[in-house]
Amino acid sequence: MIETDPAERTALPTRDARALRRLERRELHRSRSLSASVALWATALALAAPGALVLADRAGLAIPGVQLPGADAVASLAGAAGPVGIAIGGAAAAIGLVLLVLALAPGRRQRHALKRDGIAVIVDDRVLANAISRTAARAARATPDRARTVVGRGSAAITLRPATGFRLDAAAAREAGTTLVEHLRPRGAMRVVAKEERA
Amino acid sequence: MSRSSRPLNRILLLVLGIAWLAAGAWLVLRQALPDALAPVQPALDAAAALQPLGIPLDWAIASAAAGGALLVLAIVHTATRGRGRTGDAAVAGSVVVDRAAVRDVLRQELGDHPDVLDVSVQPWRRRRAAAWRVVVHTRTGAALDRVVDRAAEAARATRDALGTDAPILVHIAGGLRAAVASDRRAA
Repeated sequence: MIETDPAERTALPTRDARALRRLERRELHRSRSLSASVALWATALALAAPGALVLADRAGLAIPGVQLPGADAVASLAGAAGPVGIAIGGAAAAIGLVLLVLALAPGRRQRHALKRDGIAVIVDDRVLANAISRTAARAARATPDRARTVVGRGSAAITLRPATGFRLDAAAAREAGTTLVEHLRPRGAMRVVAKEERA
Repeated sequence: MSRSSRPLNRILLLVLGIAWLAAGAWLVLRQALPDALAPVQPALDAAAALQPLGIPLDWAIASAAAGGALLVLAIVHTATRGRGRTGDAAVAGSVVVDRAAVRDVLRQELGDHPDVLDVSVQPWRRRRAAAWRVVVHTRTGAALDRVVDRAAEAARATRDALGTDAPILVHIAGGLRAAVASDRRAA
């Protein structure tokens, strides 16, 4: 067992702070490993298949019971005129666009980072929204199912749904939500708004 | 969490996306607007007539070879994803601390909190340093500020107790377990 002085713990070297920020960033963003792998496999097969078919046809290779497209079929498809050629080209361009979007989109996960000393803390937006709803409902003197919260990147929107003939205190709900968010200390600003839904 | 390079994945997707888009655009333009390709046609013809080995290029062999090379790359890429996960949370000489032991210490430090359903620890190793990913499953509508403070404090205490300096990421999650857990409240 090694005892660590609490004062020593808070003064972390920058290397650790950087490592923590890195962990946090990786958890806040989606990995593109699967899409990159699938894209590589698809490209490899699209490139290799026509060449392999032509070579197999030339060498006279055949798989019993399977009618492989021959060199002529591949050539006619590659040089296809009219709608067929345009359709093939359009499909390829569409795949390219999807890959570009995957590469360039931020790929954010629905999570928020909280500021804590020496530890990286990530919380799911759903969990955050549930907690804000519960607190807001309690402050507005309503049952938990009367409040609903949508957590976005920099905001949390509370909607109160009062029972017929009752009013709920939206200002109190907003204040309670704000207090909870202040205690949670999310990285980046988070604005809390509350409104009462009218049937 | 793993050791996989995120920028590499992005670059791969970018390069492949541009290649697919360019090939698709060329196919469409060749059929629909042949005139639009006129400025680049000489360059394409020159590339097609290229004889790097002194013999006319055989497109079947070239495409099969390029596809084969990409196939090898695809196999390597797929096989090297998600590496770095380990069961050893801390190693000091010949002493190895298992992740289950870390989880037990963490549970002890966390104590019995009604909003915490389960805790799990996944260590992983990059270069020589280990890092821990701690997942705390909470009940729906938990008193989140208290859960977060307590989980962060427990994680720090666990690290201190084990005498390591592993970077720790605490993930407060809900998920299926929170959805099916029964409410705990006085009737």
